[in-house]
Amino acid sequence: MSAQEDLFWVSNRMGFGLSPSELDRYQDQDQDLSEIVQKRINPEKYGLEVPVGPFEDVDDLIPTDKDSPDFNKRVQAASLELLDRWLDEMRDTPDPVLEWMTFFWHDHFAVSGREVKSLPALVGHLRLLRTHARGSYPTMLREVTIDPAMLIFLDGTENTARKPNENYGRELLELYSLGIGNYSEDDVLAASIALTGWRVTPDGVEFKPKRHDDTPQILLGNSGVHDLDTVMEAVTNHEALPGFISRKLSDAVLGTGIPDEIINEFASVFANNDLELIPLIEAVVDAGLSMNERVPIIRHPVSWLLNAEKVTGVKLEARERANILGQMNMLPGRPPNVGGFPGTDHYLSASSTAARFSSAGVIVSKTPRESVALQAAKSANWEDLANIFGHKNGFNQPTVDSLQDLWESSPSASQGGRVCLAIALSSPDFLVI
Amino acid sequence: MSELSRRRFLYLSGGAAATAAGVGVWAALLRGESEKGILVPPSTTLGATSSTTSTTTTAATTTSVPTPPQNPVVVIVQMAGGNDGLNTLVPLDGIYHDARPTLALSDSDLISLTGINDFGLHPALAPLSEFWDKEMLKIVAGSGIPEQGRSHFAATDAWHSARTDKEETGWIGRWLDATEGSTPNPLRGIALGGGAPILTGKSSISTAIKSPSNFRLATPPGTDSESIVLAFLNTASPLASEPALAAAQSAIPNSLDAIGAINSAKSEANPDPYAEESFTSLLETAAGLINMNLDTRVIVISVPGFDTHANQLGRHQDLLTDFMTGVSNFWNRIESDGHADRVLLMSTSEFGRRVEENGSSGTDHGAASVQFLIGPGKGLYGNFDLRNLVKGDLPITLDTRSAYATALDWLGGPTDEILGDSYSRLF
Repeated sequence: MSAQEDLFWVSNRMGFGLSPSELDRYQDQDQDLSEIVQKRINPEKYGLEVPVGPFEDVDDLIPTDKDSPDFNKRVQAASLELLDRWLDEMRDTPDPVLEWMTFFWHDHFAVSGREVKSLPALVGHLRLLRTHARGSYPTMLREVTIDPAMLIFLDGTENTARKPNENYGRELLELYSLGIGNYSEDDVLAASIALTGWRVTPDGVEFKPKRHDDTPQILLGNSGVHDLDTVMEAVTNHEALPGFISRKLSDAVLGTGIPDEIINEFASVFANNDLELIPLIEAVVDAGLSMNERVPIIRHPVSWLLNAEKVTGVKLEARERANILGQMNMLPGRPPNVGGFPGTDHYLSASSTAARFSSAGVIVSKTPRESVALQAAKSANWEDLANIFGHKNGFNQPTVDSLQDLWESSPSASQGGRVCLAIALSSPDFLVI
Repeated sequence: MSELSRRRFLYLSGGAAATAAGVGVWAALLRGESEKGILVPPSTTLGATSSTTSTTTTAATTTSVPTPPQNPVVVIVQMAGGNDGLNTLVPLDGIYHDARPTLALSDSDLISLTGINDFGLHPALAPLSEFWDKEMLKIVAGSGIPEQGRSHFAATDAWHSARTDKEETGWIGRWLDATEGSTPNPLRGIALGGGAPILTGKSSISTAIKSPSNFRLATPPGTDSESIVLAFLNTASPLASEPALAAAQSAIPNSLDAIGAINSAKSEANPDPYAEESFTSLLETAAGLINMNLDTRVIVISVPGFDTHANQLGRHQDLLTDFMTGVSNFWNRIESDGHADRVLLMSTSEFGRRVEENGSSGTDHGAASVQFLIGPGKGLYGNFDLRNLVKGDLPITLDTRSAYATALDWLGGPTDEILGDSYSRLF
């Protein structure tokens, strides 16, 4: 595989694609492209600065005067503005792996604005995920456990000595650390009891000893578990955690068909590095890059939309983006349930397919004349267009034939270019990475 | 992320003819029943450009509708968010009034049902009493899935899967898996407005449409829509050998067929593309789909908003009014179209609400709720056991899966295999 193919692969699998100008920039720098790949994974190691995220400096944006009559309306406007900033950052960031991992954790913890109505809490949660996105998993998990948004989302605020609520305790074990089959119902109750007493205040969270049951519990075979620290110790020391998290990341990057032996290798790298995420990410990416035959996967809707914007040089309006992603069932900030966004089958649903086709039409009608993708389409240069999309071996033959037919039957090269670009963006080729 | 269903990429190699004239045309054309280059897209599939849709393909087939049980249809109406059963089917009981100082409906406002002395219906549900008198209404009081877990996500999962063990398939999805023919038809199961998880199967494919009134193919202004849609279709065939690419290809004809069906089924286009989907509009589309004879067996429609934690009275009234208008219009339409004998309509909700109202004139998540089944037969099943509350919740007196079993029997089963156990039926 060429270095350019590698760069596209990493940009698509742990990022939101590569724009023609980004590709030019890398090539102009006359750098070793494989080094660029390494820098993308671990920029700090190379002394590169981490960009200020989309969830910083947002205080001015978030309305606080709850009693004002148009409060809800302004919260909605602020939510839309934040979504737009977030998508901009994913699209334009010099550090795509960071934004990709942040979104990955958003899908993993799946805290939704549907349940968490407090915008400051939701933004704080996303900021937390971004801070630890490729840091230490135990640190992230500990902070998520007492994060205001999570306490609201999974009823931690209701979890008291008098009436333990198992909602978070269950998902902690099932979705965030070990997976089904690695814990018992007694463990769910033990974790829940040991985590009683936390609640949300206007300024953050507080631990109320009166609401906490400090009775020592047995959790996952560990006795004396009675508080946040001891729960975290029992969970993060469990042998199932490295494999569970490795599988989740591997499925997202490499696709779901990776055999257990390889997952176990990832898991031991993860375990041997104190559950730090960078070594795990490196192992997964290395495995992907060194495969003889790369198995394509279906791109998810956020990846599709942002990459479509990137290759054409278009920026859609916030509301357009929200509508498209809503139709495709992947609106950031609103995972539909605790399990996160739906999987590949839903991205191929009738709604998603129709939305993809229709929004490709919107995108090409806004594509600037100087766009290299549009230029390629106007001159019916399908090889160039495929290259811009990162398909070094060209489009699938039916796509080429269809583009050529459409181009030839168009009244002008200018219109033919635009409609052909729309078909290329909605084609099966652009959906697989 | 789930594995790609194998069916997706086997679909186009099926070889059989389309199921009915005008249906499955895109998929059929790609199966080789027409040569590339002479494909002419039927105008009905271009929802965005032809709102008048004369649908010659659909009107002609109504005369040959087989009678049940050959072509049974189940329409599942989801009241999403947890419907307050107690303010829907209201017990004439002092305990109810004591628990709900601001929310209790007055006995004199309730709609009475002939022969029932303990309950009355919410005033918005008056037309249900006519179904009752015609022996076409079954009511389940106190329905729910026992042990469905304490988290409301677990309750929602159980609602979709009809199991309490985190099963990922939906109960209708398992039925579709068990009964699909050699040529998979994604229109056998259709979810409108939500509710798609109930259709999730292991091998079968179904159609999920979030917003039917928004569901269309838009093409840039000033361009030739038909040729662009055709170009889109042509990227789908022949199928690549690579599975992910083939799956992405197969999605295209399936979607075009669904768009054709939906746009023909809608009686008129919704002028406001951002309008909320209501029971009324979704059930209208459902009635249209049934009349098209697409071999559709199950239609799920889902409307959110029942999670009434605060200021419940007005919102609940609006929701039930919309539900009732939708159901009445739907039934009138399928009766005049001649399909009423083969349709069973069942309402469901993931859970009920706490007996006692909360401090915000609303109710919090509870356990048992109420279900309505419209079709042949009449009866009141289960009970609201206000004297034996469990942690402030109505106990579940009848397993929701009894209603599911009744619906699966209507579809011809295999009911017990799909539910993993044998549940009593609502006879």
